[in-house]
Amino acid sequence: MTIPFITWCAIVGIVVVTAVWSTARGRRAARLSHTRVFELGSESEELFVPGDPTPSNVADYGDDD
Amino acid sequence: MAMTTDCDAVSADVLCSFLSRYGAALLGCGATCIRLQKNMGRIAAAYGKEVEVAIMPRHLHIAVCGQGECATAISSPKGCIDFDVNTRLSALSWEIADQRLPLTEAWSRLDDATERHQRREWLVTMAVSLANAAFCRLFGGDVVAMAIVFVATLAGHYIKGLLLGRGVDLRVTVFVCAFISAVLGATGLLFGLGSTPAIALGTSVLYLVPGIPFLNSFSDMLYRHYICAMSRFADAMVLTGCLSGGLLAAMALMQVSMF
Repeated sequence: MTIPFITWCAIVGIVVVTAVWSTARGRRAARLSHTRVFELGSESEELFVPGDPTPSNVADYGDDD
Repeated sequence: MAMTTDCDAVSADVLCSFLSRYGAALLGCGATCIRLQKNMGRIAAAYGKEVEVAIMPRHLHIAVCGQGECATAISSPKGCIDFDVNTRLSALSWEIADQRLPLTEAWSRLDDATERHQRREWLVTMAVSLANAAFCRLFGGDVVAMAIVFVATLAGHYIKGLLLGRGVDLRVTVFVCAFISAVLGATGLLFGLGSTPAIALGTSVLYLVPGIPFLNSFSDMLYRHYICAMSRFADAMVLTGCLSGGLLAAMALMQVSMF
C-alpha cells in the first residue's frame, strides 16, 4: 500500500473514531444526568439526621453516640 | 459607589465600570475599533459624560469624565468572534441612547447581550460545509468535487470544534484541521473521482481562512488605528501560515499537486 492511501485511511479512521467516541460520551453524560426511578443507596443517604456520623468523621464518634 | 436609576445622575466611576465591561465584550467578539469608539461614545453621551478610549490589541484603556469627576479603567477583551453578540451590543448602545435606559437596566441588558445562546453546533457545521461546497462550485468544481469538499469540511469543522473546546491553541487547531480537510479533499485525486479533483483539494480548506481578522485590520487601518490594524493583520497572517502549512503537509504526504 502506498503512503497516500495509508495516510488517507488513517485520517478517515481518526475522524470516524473521534466522532463515534464523542457522540457516545455525550449520550452517556445525557443519560447519567437523568433522574433514576430506582436506585441503590446507603442508609445514611436515605435517612440522615443532622449530627449523624459521616464517613469522613466516623472516627470522632464513640460507641455511645 | 453611587448607583442610581436616574439616567442623568450616573457617577463617572459607575459608568466607567459599565463601559469597561461593555468595551471588553465588544472588542472580544470581533468588532472594529471605530465601532467600539462610536458605541462607547454614544453610551457615555447618553449619561451626560465623555469617554476617551485607547484601544490596544490586548487591552482597553478607558477614561470617563464629566461634571468635574473622572474615572479610569483598564479591561481585557473576552470571548471569541461572534457576530450575534456584536449585533446585540451595538443595538444596546442605540437603546441606551434612544430610550434613555437607566444604568441598572443597561447592566441587565448587557448581561443578556453577552450571554452566548446555545446553538446547535451541528447546524453551524452543516452550514459551513454547504457554504464551502458552494465555493467549490464557484471555482468550477463538479458535483463529485462538491461532495468531497462537503465531507472534508464537515470533518475538519467538527474536529475544529472539538479541539477549540478542549482549549487547544488556535494556530495548532487550524494546522491540524487544514491537514485533515486537505487529506480528505484529495480523495478525488487518490481514487480518480470526478473531473475536477484539484479544485476539490484547493477549496477544501477555504473555511479556515481568517476573513474577519483581515477585514477588521483593513477597517482599523482606514480609521487610523494602526496598532490594532497591524496586530490583527499579524494574527491573520499567522493563521493563514498555519493553514498553508497544514495544506502543504497534506499535499506532501498525499503526493499530489494542484498544478
